[in-house]
Amino acid sequence: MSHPELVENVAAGLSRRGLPSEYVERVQTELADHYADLVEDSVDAAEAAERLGDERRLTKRFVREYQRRSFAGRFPLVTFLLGTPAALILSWVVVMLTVQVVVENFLGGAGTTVDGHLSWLEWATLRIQVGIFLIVLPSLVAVWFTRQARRSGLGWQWAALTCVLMAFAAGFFQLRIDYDHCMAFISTPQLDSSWLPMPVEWLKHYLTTPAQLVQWLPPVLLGALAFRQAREQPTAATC
Amino acid sequence: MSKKRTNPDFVNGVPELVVLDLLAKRPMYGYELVQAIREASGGTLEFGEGCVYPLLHKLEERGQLASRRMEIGGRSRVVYRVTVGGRKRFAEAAARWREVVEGVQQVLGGSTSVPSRAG
Repeated sequence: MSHPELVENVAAGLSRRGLPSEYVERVQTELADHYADLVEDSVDAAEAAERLGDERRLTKRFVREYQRRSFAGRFPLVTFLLGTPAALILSWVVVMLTVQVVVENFLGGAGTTVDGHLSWLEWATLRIQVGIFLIVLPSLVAVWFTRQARRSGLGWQWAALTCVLMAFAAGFFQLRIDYDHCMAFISTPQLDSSWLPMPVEWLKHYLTTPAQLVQWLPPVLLGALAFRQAREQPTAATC
Repeated sequence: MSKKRTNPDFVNGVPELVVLDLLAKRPMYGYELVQAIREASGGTLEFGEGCVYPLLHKLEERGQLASRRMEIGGRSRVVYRVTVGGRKRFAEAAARWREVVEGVQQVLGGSTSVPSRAG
């Protein structure tokens, strides 16, 4: 049985909004069955489509109903604007405490220099920590939240917000190792009033070194990839 | 599309109440349910018929309805039935609705009696 245009358009609208294909299929089947029942009851095609309802209104209702199933869908502003930075900070704290415990108890305090030179273990520990903090964690948070955005039937704007926030946080910090004095510095932009409104300076900060690019690009790229992939995966929220 | 088929003034909570009541009597699929609503309300409740599905999905998500795909009339249908949770919810909502109706009737009764006394 071929689906009427209205049913096809509603299904296409739901797919565009990122609702899972299983759910879209179910909606399509139910609406098509309803339409077929109307036609079987001697209602002409135009009247049957009219009785199903306005296409835009129907699509909106299905999307809204689907969004209400998750916290992220009901409260996107809280989830993505506040939840994303909070999740990153929480993950930083958890990892920091874990690293501290591991270094102190299992590596004998490898994070401190005693002979005036950075040992390979000290150097590696430092690099790994920075990598985890400024690349892995922001990327993981971006991936998790963009998937939530997609699975909640929210638009790409919310996923983009997450990626931008994580890229901003990841690229905000700069690692500098002073080998002469065996010291590592984490620097941030100077947030004084004369500096803050200068977008060129901000841009320079994020593009200063290749390392900076390596920090803020992964959350953006991986977040975008996760957003695309989440569309095709069935979720627990589907019927 | 005509707006005749939609009823945005459909009072909050009423669609759920009607759907739970009708499905508590017997399991139905969407089209059957719409016909039953029309019949039971004497055509008073008008809405875009497709709008019943987001509502059914919502109630199912809340655990108040359960659905099962069944072969009916040579076609595979999604048939909905009320769960134990749905019956409980219906009892609460129906009690609340009766209170509201009673309250509204008292208000309307009071307001209509004022002009008659003044007159």
